[in-house]
Amino acid sequence: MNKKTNESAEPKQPAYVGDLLLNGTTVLTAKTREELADMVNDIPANVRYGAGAAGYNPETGAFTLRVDIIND
Amino acid sequence: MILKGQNFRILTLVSNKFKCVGMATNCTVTLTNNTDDASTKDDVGMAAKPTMTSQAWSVQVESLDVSDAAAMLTAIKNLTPFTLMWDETSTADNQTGEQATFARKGTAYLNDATFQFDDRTNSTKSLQFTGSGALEKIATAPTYEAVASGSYTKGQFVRLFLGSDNTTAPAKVIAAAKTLSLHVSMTLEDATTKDTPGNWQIQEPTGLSYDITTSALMRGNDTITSSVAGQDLASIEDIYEAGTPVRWKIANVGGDNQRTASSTIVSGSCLLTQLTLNGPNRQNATYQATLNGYGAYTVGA
Repeated sequence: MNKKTNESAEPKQPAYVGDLLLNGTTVLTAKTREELADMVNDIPANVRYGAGAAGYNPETGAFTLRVDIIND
Repeated sequence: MILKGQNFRILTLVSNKFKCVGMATNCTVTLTNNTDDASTKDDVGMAAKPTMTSQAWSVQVESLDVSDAAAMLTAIKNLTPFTLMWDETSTADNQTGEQATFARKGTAYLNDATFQFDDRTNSTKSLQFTGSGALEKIATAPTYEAVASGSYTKGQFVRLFLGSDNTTAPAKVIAAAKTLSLHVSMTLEDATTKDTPGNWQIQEPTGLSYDITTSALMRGNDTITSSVAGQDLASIEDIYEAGTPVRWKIANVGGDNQRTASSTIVSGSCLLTQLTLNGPNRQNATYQATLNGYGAYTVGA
């Protein structure tokens, strides 16, 4: 059986959203839900990723989305 | 001192560091001694004599953090075992393990996961891990990692979209939806053999299945226009009557009426197995649909 480790895989090539390096598990942070959706649209088409549920952090007032890069 | 629940926590090993399950609200550890009755005709009276034959353990944890839904769904799909630990945590941060004498660690499969996205409610996840192999005491102090401050996800911002068949993209959101849950289950089979040392049961994954349940308010005889692109009861009934799989996706949403999909969390095909319509007197009429996964799901788009 193919037993993988419980770690996010590294992307084959560095991919960025703005200045943010997408690397393994990355949390996208934005001021609004719409801005967060724009950041998702900016993820390069050749990067396969799994998105979690978008959330709101009441402590920082930020909208967040966890993105796990899939390397297969 | 009596320990409070917030200081009895489940930790998972990530990059060689133990990290608490973030935003957890409850956890349960179940340790089981499987027994055989060893009473024989030689014993006088009626009493049973249970003897331990094997030992098994499982861990359940509930949390408000659904941001790692993609990672958890990937772990189940890839049959990835987790290294888990339970421990007393420091009251200073509720996160740093104290290596209590009752702390134990072991390897377990995430064999059951439910994600619940209900309208105007914080979304939840409920995970069940089933141990495979021995539980160990914590001999050397492990490295701990703090949990990053988490985000809450209101259920109305995660919605189910259906297509009309197994090839059409799932573009229509369930209109007037109230609840949504995704339940993924891994079948584990006891793989303990005479070769296995000790008393601990070994588990082997043998199957995966999932189901989606959603409920919505029934709308009157107004059809949902293609510009709004909502899935109403009539089209759900069409899906039921066709009796063939349809494409689905669960996605983060925004825009007017929270109907515009942004990032897809998970997608796949499903068969509508049950549709329940309910009309209670002086209350909103509702319907509930249960959809069973058809083939593997895809994490992400």
